[in-house]
Amino acid sequence: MNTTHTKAPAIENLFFNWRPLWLIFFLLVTVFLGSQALQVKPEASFEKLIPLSHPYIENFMERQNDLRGLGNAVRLAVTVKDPSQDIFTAEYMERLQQVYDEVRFLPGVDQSAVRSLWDPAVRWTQVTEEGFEGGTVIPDTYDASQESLDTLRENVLKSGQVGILIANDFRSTIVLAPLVDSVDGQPLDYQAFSHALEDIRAALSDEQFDIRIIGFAKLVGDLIDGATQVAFFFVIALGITFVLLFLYSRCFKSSIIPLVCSVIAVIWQLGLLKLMGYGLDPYSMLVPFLVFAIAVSHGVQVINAMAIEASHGHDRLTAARLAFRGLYVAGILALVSDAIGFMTLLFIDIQVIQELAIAAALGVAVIILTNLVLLPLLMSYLGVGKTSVIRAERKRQETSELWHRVSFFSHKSVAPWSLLAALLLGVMGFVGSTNLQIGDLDEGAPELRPDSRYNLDNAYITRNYATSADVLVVMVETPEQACVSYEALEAVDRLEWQMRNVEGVQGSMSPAYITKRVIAGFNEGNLKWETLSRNQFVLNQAMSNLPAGMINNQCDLLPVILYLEDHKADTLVRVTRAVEAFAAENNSEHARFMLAAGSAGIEAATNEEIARAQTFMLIFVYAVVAALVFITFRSWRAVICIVAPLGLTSVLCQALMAQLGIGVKVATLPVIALGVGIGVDYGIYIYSRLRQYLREGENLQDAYYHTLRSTGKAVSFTGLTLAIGVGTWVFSPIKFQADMGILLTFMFLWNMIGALWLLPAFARYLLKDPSKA
Amino acid sequence: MQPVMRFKPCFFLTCLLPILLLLSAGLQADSRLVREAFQSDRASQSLLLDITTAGQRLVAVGERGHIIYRDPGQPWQQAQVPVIAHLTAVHFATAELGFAVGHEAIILRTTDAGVSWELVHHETEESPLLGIQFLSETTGFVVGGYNLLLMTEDGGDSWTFLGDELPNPEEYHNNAIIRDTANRLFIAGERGMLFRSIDQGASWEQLPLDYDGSLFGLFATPAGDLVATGLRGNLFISRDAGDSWQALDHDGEQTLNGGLALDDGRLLVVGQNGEYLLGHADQLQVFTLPGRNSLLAVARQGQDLIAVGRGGIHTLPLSETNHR
Repeated sequence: MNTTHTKAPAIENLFFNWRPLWLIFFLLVTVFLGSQALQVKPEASFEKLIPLSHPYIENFMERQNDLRGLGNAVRLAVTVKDPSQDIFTAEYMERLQQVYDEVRFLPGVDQSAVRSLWDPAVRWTQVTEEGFEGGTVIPDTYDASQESLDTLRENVLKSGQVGILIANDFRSTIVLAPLVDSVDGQPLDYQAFSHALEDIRAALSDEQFDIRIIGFAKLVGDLIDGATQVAFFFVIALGITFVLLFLYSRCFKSSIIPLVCSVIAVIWQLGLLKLMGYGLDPYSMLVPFLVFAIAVSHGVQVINAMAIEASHGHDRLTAARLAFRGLYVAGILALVSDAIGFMTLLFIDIQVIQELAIAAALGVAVIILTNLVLLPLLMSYLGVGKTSVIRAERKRQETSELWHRVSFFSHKSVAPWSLLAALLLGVMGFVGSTNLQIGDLDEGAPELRPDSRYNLDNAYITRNYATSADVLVVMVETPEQACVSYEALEAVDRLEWQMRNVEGVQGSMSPAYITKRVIAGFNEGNLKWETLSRNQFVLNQAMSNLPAGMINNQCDLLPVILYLEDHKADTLVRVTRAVEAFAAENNSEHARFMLAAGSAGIEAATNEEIARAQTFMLIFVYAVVAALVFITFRSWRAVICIVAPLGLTSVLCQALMAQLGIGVKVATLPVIALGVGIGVDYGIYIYSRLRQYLREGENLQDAYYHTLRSTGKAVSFTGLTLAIGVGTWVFSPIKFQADMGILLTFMFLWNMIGALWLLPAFARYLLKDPSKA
Repeated sequence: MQPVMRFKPCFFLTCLLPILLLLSAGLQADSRLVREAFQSDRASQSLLLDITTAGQRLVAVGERGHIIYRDPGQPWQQAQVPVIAHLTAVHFATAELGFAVGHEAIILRTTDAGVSWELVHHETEESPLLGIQFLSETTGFVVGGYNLLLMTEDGGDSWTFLGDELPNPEEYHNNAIIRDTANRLFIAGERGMLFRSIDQGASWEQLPLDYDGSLFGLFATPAGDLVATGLRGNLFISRDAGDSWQALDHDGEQTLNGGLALDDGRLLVVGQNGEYLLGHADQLQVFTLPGRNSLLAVARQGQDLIAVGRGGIHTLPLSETNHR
């Protein structure tokens, strides 16, 4: 370190000449933002998870109110545990009634739309010589006697609800509860709602009966609950990081102060988020970890530099000033490029990702103040511990066998082999990454682990009921009051059949389907009449029997509900393409076929947006990082030395995702941008030192050796702390957090290896070796 | 007023008439059912409404213009059909010459045992056709809703309305038509209607039946008996060519749609919600198909008894299991 003789820059004087004032300022801001941060609440909303400007979603949003009940609903299956029993017992019916009553009066539930055996709107019908006969499935005279239970059993068979409200094995029935958007003007609190459902489950299930619950609201509630547990991982990460810092510095002060400053960075970030009106959703829940890890890594650079300066015999203040002077350019550059890297996520039109981008960018921006300014200011009072200084001094004097060996990566006999190996790895990674898939690859809710309660419940309901939870709704627009026209219904009917023939479509439901059945019903149940009539009177009469959600007030929308076998990306693409092809051929003035509502429709749109954004985002994040490096070092050689190893990491990360069966989705899309943004730090720190030693006239290998001596240890330590900070997520109950943890850990470690191993190899061919000049 | 008067004769002849002609042409062209039936692997699982034999071959018809056929030991194949209409009945005059009928008074004809079909009759505003029977290669009858009865004497090229010959003033639906071994024709329909013609359709008489619910199916046994099937398990047999009918007693409650007589004299009758009856006329037993799909008709190919209905093709297990 030979910064001693350089003049103090203005920015250094700005901070170090007014140290007490700045400390008071930092204290006040921390107290204020801390009070804000305490109010940050976990939240999640449906709209934030979907690409609002995708045409599918625009269509859906426009028609949302007409599709009531097809959107957001929860299903509770009340099940009989004893395999020898069925639902036709007095105890079961009583329990079901309790669940039905409890659910109906939950805030957020659309009370009038709740369906269950106990709902008077659930009826049976039968044709007799006199015409129709019908009634509520649970007989009006129901008195829990064996006789009325027998009547109930017959009514159930006649109701056509087997597979829909009643399980195929008659051992459970469904309470279907459509939800409203807001309660008393406040958006529905999914976490509270999910907890209320859990209360019902706890109160009304026992050794006889069980309750299984699925639906978006329950899923989000479980996600928030699970994601909140990451607070625990934060404590663990904090502990591990402290131990590592202590092993690294052997000085209590040097260990605790970077931790404190890093926690302050997190507090500031959360406080600012709250001030800006954002909350923490399950996706951005991980950002504080990231901010903490990045903050620690920069803190380590500062402590490392101070120890070295102190070992040169400087006092606390001077050592702090010199450390600041030596690091602030590289530090600010690294953090700014992190922030800008994160900001590229703003191009993805999905609000949770955008909020994650803002939260992460804000976090790293804050680190500039907390760990590049506050940390040296604090250390200028406290100083690095004696042991630490002595260690640094001793280390400085003895040659390091390890770093000496590593420095051979810049040697002319090693560098070409390194580059060749990197090229091979890159090709292998590229081949592997071609298997990378967009969207979900697994069944159930892939956000959660396969053995989570939610996924077990989901599997149970899928197994025992005819209708799957993966629903794609085609919205068929007709002129106003013309949804009952023969032309529209006929086209709907044809669409339905063609879609049933598409692989991955399990079944379907539409107003045409129901109308046909009602028409057959009017004709004594004779299936030879079960077709659409050209007689408008017949159609009007039949369609007056449509359930809510199948017809809207203006009579200008017909929903066609396709039940899919799963929500894998391939399935969604195949089905949406088939619908689009049908629409192109059959759109007319009578009917226009529009995608898409339903969980699968929304997921299809999300997948498309992610596929579109993925490449664009990668190009952009690399362009930004390259531009920043170029501006700072004024050299395209620097750009290659720093950015090329990152590219290798990105490709390998994609191959890893393909290998592990992790699809690109809302949760994993940000990983590569985050990885590149943070990974560039290593390169910047190493390159700036290397250039400095080269300018001082050393040959490449010596310069690289000295770079490693001064900063290599900090860089490798940084890689380790970052990896540990995110590595703890692997134990998260939320699958996507675990996935992100695996991928980020890989990227941080491999970026570090890339910087230490490949940067000098590139330097061998790109940088001037002054000793040979 | 003068100019208006002057235009008036012209108005009807030169203006309105062409418009009317255009309209009637338009109505015909307007049918959305004239469209190649969609080829589908799932046609054999779609709603099928009738099944019959053409020589050794089984031929079944159903919704969306679906016609499928199967030779012994072969898989089901879907025929080329020029319409997507709800096809309600199928009948073969010979092993090669067959007819299928459906809604919009559609009549289809095949001359290659059901592989390909041509449209020979179609009137968009006409009632659905529900049953068909030929007496020879040239003479045949179809019945349908609202007292529809059509006859051809040229193998299906042209059809004439014969409903006025039926004593059916309330215009109840004619649901089924068959002939017996003596070439007598019988029609069963709504409100317990039963008609008979002993002169190849020239004249018809109503037969007495002590039941006023609907009859959906009619079949003759090799012994010469007639069986009529109806609403809510109502089942009648006539052993005197329709002169008198007796109700058959059994435990079933579902509407019965059709059936056939087995070689050993037992009757097989199929009905709604998977229910079917099997046994000699005086000791019919009730069975229910798992899945409870409604059954419309049944036919035989070798040892297989194939019923059709909701869910398409169902092979009936003729054992004593599944007894209710």
